[in-house]
Amino acid sequence: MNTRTHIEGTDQTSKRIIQGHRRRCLKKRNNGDFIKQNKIQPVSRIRPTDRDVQFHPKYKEGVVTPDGVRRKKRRENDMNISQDSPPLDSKVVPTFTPNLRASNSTLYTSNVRGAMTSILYNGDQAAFTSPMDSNNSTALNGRRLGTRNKDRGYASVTNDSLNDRVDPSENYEENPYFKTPDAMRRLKRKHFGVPTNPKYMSLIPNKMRDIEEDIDVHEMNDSDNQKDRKVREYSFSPTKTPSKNGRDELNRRRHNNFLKNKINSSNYSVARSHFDREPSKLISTVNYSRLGKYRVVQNPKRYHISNFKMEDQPNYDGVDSKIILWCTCKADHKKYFCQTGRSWTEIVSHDFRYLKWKDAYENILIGQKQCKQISRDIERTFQKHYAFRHTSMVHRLSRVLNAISLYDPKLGYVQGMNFLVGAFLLHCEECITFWLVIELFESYEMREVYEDGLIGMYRHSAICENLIEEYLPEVWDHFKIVDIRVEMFMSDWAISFLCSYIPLSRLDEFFTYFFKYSWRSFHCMVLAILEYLKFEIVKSDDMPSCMNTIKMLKEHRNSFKFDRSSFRKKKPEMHGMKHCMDLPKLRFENKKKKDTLTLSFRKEMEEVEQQISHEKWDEVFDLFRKYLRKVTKEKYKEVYAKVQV
Amino acid sequence: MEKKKNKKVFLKVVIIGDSGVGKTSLIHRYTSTRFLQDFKPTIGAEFSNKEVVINGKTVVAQIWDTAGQERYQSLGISFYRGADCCGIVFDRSDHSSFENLDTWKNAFLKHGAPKEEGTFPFLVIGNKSDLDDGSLVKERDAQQWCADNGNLEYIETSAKDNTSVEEAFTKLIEKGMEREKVNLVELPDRMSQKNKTVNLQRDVAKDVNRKPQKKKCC
Repeated sequence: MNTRTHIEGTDQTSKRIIQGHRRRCLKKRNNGDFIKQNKIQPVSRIRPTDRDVQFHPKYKEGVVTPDGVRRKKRRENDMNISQDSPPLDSKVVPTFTPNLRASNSTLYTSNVRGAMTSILYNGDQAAFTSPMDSNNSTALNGRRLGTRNKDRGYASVTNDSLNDRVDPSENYEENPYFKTPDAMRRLKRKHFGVPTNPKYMSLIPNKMRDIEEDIDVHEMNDSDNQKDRKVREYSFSPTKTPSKNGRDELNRRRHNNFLKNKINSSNYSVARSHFDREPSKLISTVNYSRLGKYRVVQNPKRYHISNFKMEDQPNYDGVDSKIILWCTCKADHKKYFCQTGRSWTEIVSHDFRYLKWKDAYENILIGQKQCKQISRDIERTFQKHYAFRHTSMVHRLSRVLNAISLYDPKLGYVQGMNFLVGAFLLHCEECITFWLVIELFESYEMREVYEDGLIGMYRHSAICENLIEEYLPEVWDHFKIVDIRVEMFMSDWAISFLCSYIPLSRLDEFFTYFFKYSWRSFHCMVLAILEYLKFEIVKSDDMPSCMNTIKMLKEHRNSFKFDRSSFRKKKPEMHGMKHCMDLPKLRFENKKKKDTLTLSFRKEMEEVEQQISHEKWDEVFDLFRKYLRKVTKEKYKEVYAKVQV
Repeated sequence: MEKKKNKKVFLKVVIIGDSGVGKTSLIHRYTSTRFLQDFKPTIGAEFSNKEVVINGKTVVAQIWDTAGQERYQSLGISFYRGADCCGIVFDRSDHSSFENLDTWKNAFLKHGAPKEEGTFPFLVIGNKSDLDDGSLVKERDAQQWCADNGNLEYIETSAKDNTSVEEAFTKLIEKGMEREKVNLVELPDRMSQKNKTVNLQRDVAKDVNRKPQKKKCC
């Protein structure tokens, strides 16, 4: 049984006791070794590959049927099933509506595998919970019983069973069962895989970045797509249950903010779904249209490199295989990119044809070879991001990188490309990613950056020097005093193309600018970052501290130690904090104390940090736009010509 | 022992070696006493610093963590130059990284161009000694290589288990201090440096925000 679920169920005092106990336990173990502390998935228990799932009989169990036969069978085996999930009574279940069937049936029957429909709403938690029983591996991959564990907010539905399923809202007014909102919510969760428990809604990461999409592509017309979209608009009303303690209150408030933000932003469409007929309720509907089908992955297995072999790597199948886009951008009706990805391809080529690109990419992949350096770096690419812990993503990354080194053997693979490719892979399908990167190399002068001698890097740092001298004279003077050359930090920035500096969630914005304005946008970004950090840079006395301040905007999730107690005191400041200078100060204060991060606390911390970094980067992007206006095209050409000479 | 504020000494330490050998985690272990779980390949060069007290002198070690890939060796010109000591790291479980020690040493001497090629303080560090499966590079071989290449010193470490990481770096720093006792650049007096450039605005800003320097302990 998971300790975490225990804690959440109990009152506060016992919570504290348990947490204290856990902290003491953690202390005993290897200090700082986070994975060990949290019992992250051992190597032997890696999730089975997709093919395993397809053919293994074990994974075919647990299909929900209305009569609940198999469900019962499952219950005997499974200890974790929650007691209070409502019985799925045949009396309660209303008749099937023809509407749903009409729109769905053709679609789902063709889907033999029956990918699961559910949502991953709590990816981060995975890192903090202990690995669950072996049953869980089935959850990852195949069919699985819905509402297996209510405490964990787990809900999943298989598609072929959805066929026989009923829309619970249809007889809403007639059926007494639905009159209590809780029952309604529970039922909805059961049927459609939406986590409606408000307790867990707060755990949804900011940009829903952890949604695992798993799209089985079959031949579908666009009109089919449209129908699909309508059906799959779910609703949840998270603010309903009364909060028990302050923590819940906090979570609720946070989540409400989250919803408000999201509704305004383009990523989520607001709609009134047919489930809810109370007009006063705030209904936010997440637009899952692109995603098609979901799976809940309660405890995603961390990908481990020692299990990864290049030989086992599946061949590239294009759209016919699975496509998983991990971004939260607006969906495109084509399955192989999101709208950001589409805008990039439109800028790059006027005549985009997927099949053409795909064929060319496949041809390149034929001569697949292994590069030791690539396999070394794959595991180190965006490790913190959820998507890159999954085997499918890792395979894609390695395939694209290999393809690049095959396409341009003279250039080969250079460290830093992995970040670039990784960032693109979140938004586009493999072959599109590949051609976009090649386009960057060939017509955006990116190739020179990676070339032997790193000419491009030196050139761009020289351009930056000129621009800094002109636009940020104070910083420039200070660099001279402290004896910092621009190359010292520019080597990292130019070669990884700021991918390791700008947070992943913001990179797409930057790329769009880059495709439009080429290297001018890069230099403006550098200027914006330096301007944002101007006061701190000028304040710092010597070279080391100055270099450290320049690094400050980087994602620093792991580089700072926080102590629980002092963090609590600091909390109100942290929320309103705009100045990034405060973070190192905090670190300094806590330096002597031991690193006592409890699990829930760490998650809380990450949320706060995300908020902070978002605020920061909003400001930086504002500055960036300012500089784009300031450094005009002519100006940039002038400087460029100067450097060439 | 007397401690004067301006007795601070800057020392430039460069860590080189094949990629994936554990340079970054070694440095991270030393500077922040933790083992990195989430790490990225180093691109270009990364910088970190640590203050140590050695023989009564506070030394600010500027540790430059360089990228391991061959392509980045041309960056060496900007990063190796002015180094006081150099640590060459190899992975004990990866024999090819041991064989590359020669190239790394030569590259450093070529790009860094230190004054004394023969006596420049190197330290050879065999990392990942916790991965003991019988196929590690033997200590004897490593010692042999060191003896052949101008009596270099050799040390075995493990950043994961924290075995003799501290030791290795103190050795490095001590060597660097020995090397140029005369030439060691002492931290110039801040006031005198300031007077060179007249910039009223910055001085005002500094005076307002200046804090008394705190003592740091390790």
